[in-house]
Amino acid sequence: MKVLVMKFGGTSVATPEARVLSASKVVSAREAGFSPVVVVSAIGRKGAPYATDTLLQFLHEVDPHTAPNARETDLLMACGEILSSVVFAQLLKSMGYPSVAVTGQQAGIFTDPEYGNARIRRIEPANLLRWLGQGLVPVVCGFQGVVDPGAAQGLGEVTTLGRGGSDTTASALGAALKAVGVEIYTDVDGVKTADPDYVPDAPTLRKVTYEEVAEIAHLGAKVLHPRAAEIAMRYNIPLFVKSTFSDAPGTEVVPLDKLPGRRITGVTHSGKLVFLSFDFTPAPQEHRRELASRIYHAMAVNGVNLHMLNLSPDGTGFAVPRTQYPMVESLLNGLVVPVGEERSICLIQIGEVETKAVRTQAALLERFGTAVRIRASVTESCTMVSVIGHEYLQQPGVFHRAIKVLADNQIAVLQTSDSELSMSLLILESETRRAVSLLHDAFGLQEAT
Amino acid sequence: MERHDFEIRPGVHRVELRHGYTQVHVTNLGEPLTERRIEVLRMVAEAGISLDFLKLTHCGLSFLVPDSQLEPVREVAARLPGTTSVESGRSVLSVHAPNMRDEEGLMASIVHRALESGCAVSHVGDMHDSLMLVVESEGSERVAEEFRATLIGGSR
Repeated sequence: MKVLVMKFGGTSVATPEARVLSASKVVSAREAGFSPVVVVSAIGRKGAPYATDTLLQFLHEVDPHTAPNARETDLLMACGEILSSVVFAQLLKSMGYPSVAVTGQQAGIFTDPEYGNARIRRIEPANLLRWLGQGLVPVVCGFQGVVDPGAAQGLGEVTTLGRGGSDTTASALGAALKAVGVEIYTDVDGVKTADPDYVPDAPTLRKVTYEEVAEIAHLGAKVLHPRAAEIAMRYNIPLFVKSTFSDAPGTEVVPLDKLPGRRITGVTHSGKLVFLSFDFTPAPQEHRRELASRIYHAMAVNGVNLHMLNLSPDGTGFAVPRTQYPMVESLLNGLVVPVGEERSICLIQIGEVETKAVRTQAALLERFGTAVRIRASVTESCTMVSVIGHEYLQQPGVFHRAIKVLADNQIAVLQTSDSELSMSLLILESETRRAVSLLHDAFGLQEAT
Repeated sequence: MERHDFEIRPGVHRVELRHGYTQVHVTNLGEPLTERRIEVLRMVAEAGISLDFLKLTHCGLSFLVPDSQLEPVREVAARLPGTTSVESGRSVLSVHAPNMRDEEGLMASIVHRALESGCAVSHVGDMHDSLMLVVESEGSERVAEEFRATLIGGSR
């Protein structure tokens, strides 16, 4: 039996016409001798009547002041995929192909008890194999599972897998069923070198490695969820990203040994961030490490997510999600930090303007001597643009080229970070479109294949 | 019953220590700072030096190269604008966790631990799945062991 997992996202099941196109792909696979297992997302995206966000809004409207509990939120969110799977199965039956709608539990998908962002622990594919053996096309609800009987709590409760969960379902089923492939159908014709909203003629990559596609996905591309790529990589499952709305060959995701060589793969953008840069130079050298430690401790105990960190002898800096910035500002602005054996006093000021809180603290501290004022500059509305490549970013001059092309076009780079596969640059969000386009050109991605 | 460990669980799953790096700090570049930084990067690139962990600092920049490039780095450092320090004997301590930028407070808690460990931390860098700390090689094994014992699958 040649099992082929075919996953259809929200736009691929959003309208009757789209569902017919999607179902036709399943029929073609079946006619070609494959045993398809379909995975579906909820119908439509934000604003559509049965989309996950719409269901959540429905719950929110019951009492906007009280957050619903996580267990029941997951139960509600799972309904979107159940509805979608039943409709899709009915469509296949109407086209003459026996089919069965299947919940996450019926598909044997067992997770940890982390409501809203559960991880798949194991899959018992017996039901799916039985249905496949009977010639049925299982249409599995993506994005959901149930708590593993081995878990200490929540046995049998419905869970959801978090953002991109249906991709994760498809990949994991591909691994459990030893599928010949997993096909992710979406509204673009594969993995592109950049967001087509920003670079309209961005080419589609014919092949990309698991590692590169996971990096692209982590750094902002929405075409495939990184968890799905990582599962496919671990189990060496052939993965394809294709369009529901065309017959284009799409992108094949392959192991590294099938795609060796040096290349740039794409440019992505992600994050709504606020960048803080602390100037430690007013503090004596011997106190700066302790000062940095206190700041990071405050961020750690308050659960702040840091991006683009830097630490140098004269200061430190990091970006925080915009949603967390008000908390960070209230934590740090006016914070008094005693440092050193003699407990010298540092007073942190966030931003150029001395607020009432900082002024009050400074006045209160006067009796202890002069407090060293540590200022942090704040740049709001930042984002990261990233260049992803294989064996390329280690070449001399790559940073120079990226920063220069942006500077030549009056785009300031606030900070950088890099890994073997990627280089990220923090810039003002208002410059994202231009920066993506400039980097796309500078690294010759128009010629990518 | 067939069991799969499909997904890497959240939290730290690996701590690595790599030796043999040299750190270059370029400070006092003056204004216009962006143009001066680009000039430094151009000179380093033209010297055929591949750099890692580039960080922009208040008055310059900082980066890391493998010790194998120590001599060319020293040569170019002597010509760079501003004040340059070249410090060998550095190691990279990297802490790996999936999607760790979204794990509340995780990055900050690791940097805090490193700063409290007594080991000199001269540089940090992060990606979505790892945090890299540049530390003095001396004493770095002890910190790596402490991190393995306390961070992997454990508390922060």
